[in-house]
Amino acid sequence: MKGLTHFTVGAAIATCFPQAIDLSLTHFSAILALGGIFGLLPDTLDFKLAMFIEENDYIIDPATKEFLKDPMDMNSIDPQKVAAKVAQAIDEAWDTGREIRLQLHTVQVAGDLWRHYEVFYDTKENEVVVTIGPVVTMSQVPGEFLGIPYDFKERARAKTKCNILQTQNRSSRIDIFNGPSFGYMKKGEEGVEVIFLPWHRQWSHSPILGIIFGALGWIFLGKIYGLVIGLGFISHILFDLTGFMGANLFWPIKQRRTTGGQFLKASNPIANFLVIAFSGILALWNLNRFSPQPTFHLHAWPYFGYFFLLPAFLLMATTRILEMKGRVVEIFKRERLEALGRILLLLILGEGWQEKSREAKEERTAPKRIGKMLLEILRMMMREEKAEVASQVRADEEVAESEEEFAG
Amino acid sequence: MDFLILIPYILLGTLMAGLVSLIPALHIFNLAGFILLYFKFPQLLPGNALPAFMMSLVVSWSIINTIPALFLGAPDESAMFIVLPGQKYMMLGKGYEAAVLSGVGALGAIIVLGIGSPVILKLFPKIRWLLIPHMGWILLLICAYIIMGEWPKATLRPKTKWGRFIDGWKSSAAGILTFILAGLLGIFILNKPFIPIERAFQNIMPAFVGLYAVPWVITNIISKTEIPKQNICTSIDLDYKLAIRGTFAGVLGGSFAALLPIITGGIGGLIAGHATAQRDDRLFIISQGASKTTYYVGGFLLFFVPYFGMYHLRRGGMAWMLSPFYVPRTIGDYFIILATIALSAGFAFFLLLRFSRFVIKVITKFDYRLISLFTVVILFAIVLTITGLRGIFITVVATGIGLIPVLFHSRRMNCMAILLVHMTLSMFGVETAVLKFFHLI
Repeated sequence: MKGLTHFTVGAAIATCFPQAIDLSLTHFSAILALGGIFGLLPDTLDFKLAMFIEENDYIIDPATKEFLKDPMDMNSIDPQKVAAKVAQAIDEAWDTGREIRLQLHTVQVAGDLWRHYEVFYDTKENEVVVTIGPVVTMSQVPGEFLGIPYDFKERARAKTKCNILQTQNRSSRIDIFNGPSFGYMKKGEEGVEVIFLPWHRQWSHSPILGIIFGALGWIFLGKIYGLVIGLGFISHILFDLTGFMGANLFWPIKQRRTTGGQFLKASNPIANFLVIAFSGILALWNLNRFSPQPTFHLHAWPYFGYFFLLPAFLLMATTRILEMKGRVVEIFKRERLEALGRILLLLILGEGWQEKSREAKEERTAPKRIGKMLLEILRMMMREEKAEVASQVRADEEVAESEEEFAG
Repeated sequence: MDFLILIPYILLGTLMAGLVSLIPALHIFNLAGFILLYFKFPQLLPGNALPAFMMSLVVSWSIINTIPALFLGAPDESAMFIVLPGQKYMMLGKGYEAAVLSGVGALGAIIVLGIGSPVILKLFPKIRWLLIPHMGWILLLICAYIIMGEWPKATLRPKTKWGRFIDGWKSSAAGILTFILAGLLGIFILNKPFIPIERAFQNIMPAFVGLYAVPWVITNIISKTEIPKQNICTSIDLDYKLAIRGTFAGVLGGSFAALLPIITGGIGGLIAGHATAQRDDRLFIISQGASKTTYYVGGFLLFFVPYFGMYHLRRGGMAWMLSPFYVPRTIGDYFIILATIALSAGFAFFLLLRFSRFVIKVITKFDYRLISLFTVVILFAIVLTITGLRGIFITVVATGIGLIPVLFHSRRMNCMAILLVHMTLSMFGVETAVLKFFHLI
């Protein structure tokens, strides 16, 4: 999830405590803000501390002599040398059995001009693919610079001794500010696993650290502060677990990240929007019901139904309509009588359910058919969603998660 | 109120605001104040034409004022986030497309405001009343987010951990320094006005010009920017999904800013930007256009909500200026204003396209550095005219602060501390102690 989402969730959790609202209203307390602050803290710790204390075994700085074709020309980066070095790091992890870490540096060619390059792990051929690109501005726009055309591209490959275990199906793009780091870890006899940003979501994303922060808050500020701090922090980890990269749930006992539940992409705009919206609506509900003079009087069901469930349904349905516009029209033309119900199902459950439902129709009576169909739809959704997303997005997601958490 | 009678005034207001929007640093509130105070305009207008005229000023300004931000790099506070992607588009020869995208976002926001008008009518006043006692911690939360959310721009090259830490914290520290200095500037100028008392309502304007507009224009001069040939496209690369997503994110941020007192359009833009962090500049520009329009138009629209008899919500400078001259009485007035918004927005979008083409012609015909220099002269001339020499002094100090993020690649949103710190301290009841500490009281 994005930083803003974690932040609003933390603040919304804090409003669930009537004592916290009372403290903020009567004692100018910042307790409700603490929920949001600790909701964002795990990522702050990573991006403002952990990334700097990481030690690397290999450092690739493409603008240095080691990686240049012409040692006197920093624009003559040799992609073959870069690819070979990355492959060497992977081979070392395979040979020694220990985790090898590699840092890729950016290439700044002038004040706000940077050389673009990409690293890709080809898991089919077990090769490292490096592409040197053009010079780009701070806004990542390519341009002509010292004879390097804006569409410059030079690619090279280097074979590794072992299988590369990596689900990332897109290149790591390196240009402005700083480059990414990778960890290479031998995984039995299967091969070497590529770990993107090995410093991210480690100790800082441990529930145990959340408990420690909560306990400190309890001791120094009071019980309610401790709860707000601890729950705000842990909520971040729980929401991160819905994604792909996961978190280190058992630090300091274990040093490795636990894979996430892979339900959704951290950058999924609708999921983020809905979580933020729900947090805002929950916070308003709590502020109202714990207020000495409530502004409105509504029961929970109509409140959350009208202000969250209904708009959320409409939003998702609209998205589906826009995604499947052609399909909806086709169904409507073909099966007018059942069209409305079918379109609704299509909007809610997605494509693919229809074929199965037709087979069922021939075999079973109506009530049985509907039950079976729903079950089938549910199974299919889970299967398809998971397979499709997992195959395409997993590592893509890892890159996106880390980059977008703080984007802005 | 017969709507047909109002149409000429709506079109006139839209056109006037459109022309004013092209002048960097000149805010529509300046024009409105001038019209109301010096021209005795209210007496010249028939019946209830004044609110429609004022609303058309706000609508038009919120849509067209992205032009100085996009093409001259001289934004006001609410448009500061659009400068970077706007300049990126301009360097690709697609400046006109950026203007159209921001206009699409603005029109999207107007549509959402229209559809959501019953909600605004019933719900927004209640939410506003509910949140007012909580503004302290909400402001603190925003301050914390600005400081904590800064992405480190480290090179990671130093060999030691400590070296990397210092290197990485340069930009973050510059961001925090900007936040502190802008906060202090806000405390000083908001508590001990430097501006002559008769112009005290313009207190913050020279600081905004210094923080947001001047540094970017100076950068344009120093960096010897050359504008490539601009393509005046007849269609843009955009699908409905992007338009909807951008609009929703913008409306989300803009509504937050429009609804709550103290929260500014810049914060609305910040939320909109973070809600669309999808690496797509089109989405971002649309969201910024939508956020700005929602903030200005939505905020002013609250004034027309018939609520608690004579007691009206006054959000933003325009509502405060209009309130002595006009009191909305019926739900009919509210819907007339909605129609005004729709008409004015349509006309303003048309003007946005025309004016963008005109500005593109100018900036590609002349040396961009010369234009940037001319922009700086305009900025200072306006500050001098409105606030005098003391205003110039504030602008120079604010420019110094505004240059820190430019030089250290930290985020410009730290400049928002100019209002945030003062207000947060005030809400937490510690303002007096701080003022005593600085010998300001």
